[in-house]
Amino acid sequence: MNAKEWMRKEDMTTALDCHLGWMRKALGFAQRALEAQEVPVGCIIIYDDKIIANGGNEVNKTKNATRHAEIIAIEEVRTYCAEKKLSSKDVFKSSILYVTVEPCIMCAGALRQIEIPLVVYGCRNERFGGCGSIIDVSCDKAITSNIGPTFDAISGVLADDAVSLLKNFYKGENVNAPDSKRKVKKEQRS
Amino acid sequence: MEQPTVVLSDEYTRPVSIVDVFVANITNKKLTSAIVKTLAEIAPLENLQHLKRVKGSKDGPLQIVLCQPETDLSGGDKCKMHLDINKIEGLGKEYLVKVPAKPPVTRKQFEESLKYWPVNFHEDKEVAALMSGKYFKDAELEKIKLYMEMAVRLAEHGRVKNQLSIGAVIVDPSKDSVVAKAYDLRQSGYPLQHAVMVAIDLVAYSQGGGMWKLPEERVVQSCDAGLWYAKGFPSEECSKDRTEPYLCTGYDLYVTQEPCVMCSMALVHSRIGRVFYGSAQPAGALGSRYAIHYQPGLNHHFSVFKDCLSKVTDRLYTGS
Repeated sequence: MNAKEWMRKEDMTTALDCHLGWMRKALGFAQRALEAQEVPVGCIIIYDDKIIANGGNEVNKTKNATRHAEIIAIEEVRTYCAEKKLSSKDVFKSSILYVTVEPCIMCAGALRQIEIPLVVYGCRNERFGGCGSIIDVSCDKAITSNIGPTFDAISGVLADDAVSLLKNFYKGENVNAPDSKRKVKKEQRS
Repeated sequence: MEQPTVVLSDEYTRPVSIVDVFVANITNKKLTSAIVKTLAEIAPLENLQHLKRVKGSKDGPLQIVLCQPETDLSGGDKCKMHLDINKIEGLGKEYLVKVPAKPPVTRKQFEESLKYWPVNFHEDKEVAALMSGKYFKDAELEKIKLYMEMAVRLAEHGRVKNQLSIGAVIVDPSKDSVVAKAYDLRQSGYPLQHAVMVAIDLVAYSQGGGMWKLPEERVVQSCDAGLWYAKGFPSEECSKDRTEPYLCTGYDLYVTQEPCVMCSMALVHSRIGRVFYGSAQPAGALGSRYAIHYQPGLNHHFSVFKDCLSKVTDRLYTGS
């Protein structure tokens, strides 16, 4: 089921089943990120009822704080489109993105630019959320001409699972931060 | 080069807002301190702590703040006073006056506030300097100009390559050295490769990371206007004592146009030190549509200066 079909769909139970199924897949990529000592956020992009791209957070591996799951998945779509000889612009417009945590302000800005119509996410992102938690980039009409159209967001799909993965991660500390940034935590412990 | 304009939150730039409060004249001056004490107990000023309780005047009586009018949610009489002052000796009848609603944070607001009522003011020296219009010394202005010119050359280079004319330079100000140079790449099918995002990734490359496979020219160090990053990080020495650079901590960004919301938040994630940009844009997120650099709730804030070499950068964005 692609985004357009979903919009037309009247059978909400089927839609919910569908969301739960895809979100479980996204959670799998979050789990993988956790195993790689990254912030456990996972993401998939669905087009034509198939997963065409996935991503997990890769900030530590790349030393680039912008390598969020959504950004990685968005870029992977390019590979899919090249193989299938499709226009990525068209593909994005008929895709749904599933992500375990509310997209941050940066990712919300990125999602506007690729003109994706629908984003389904798990738990809220109280620190960086760009779909309402900090600011609402997803539906700000004032930036449409520069950034791209607004997108719909469905929240709360398997939110508890997403939260427990995050809790698991934040129990440990970020081993990649320099000592000066880690001091506070150490002092707190002793 | 002209002084860049600091981009501060509305808190610093807004005019003084006012609210009504009940005051009364002190009819017996000798009782002033007793009245102040009593009112402090039965009617603390709460969110109007910035007001001095008593206002003196040359010829007239002393006036004292009693309380704010009751906010009547039922839509009835808004000017009701809930405080019973009949038992307090030495006070006249209450009446309404207008006073500043918030504490002044700049000298201008302070002076404006005093027209209404005496207020407390603790001047933030750094903010005062930033707003003075002479924050940067000549030598610093020269450096800003130099790096902005570099960003402009990158923007022009981008335009030649059929990209948007946006250039970005990331500098380590402690060493006065360039860490990364980038131009916009979004027109070649990579919608997220805005100049700032590319620059951030090149900084990651300089630290042994990085993600995007970027055009080969970045390795051509002599190319003045191509993609480029400083090599040699992290050295073995700094790896040992963990003093190697961490993301963009302490770095400055020079960019020809105000970053969009995606790029601005990327700068928050990357812990950028300061941002200097040329031309503002309506969808910009460092002062225009949003002000991500001081957005409440975010864990990293940074200084932003606009209008840097804007006479030159404006030409990049005016139709021609």
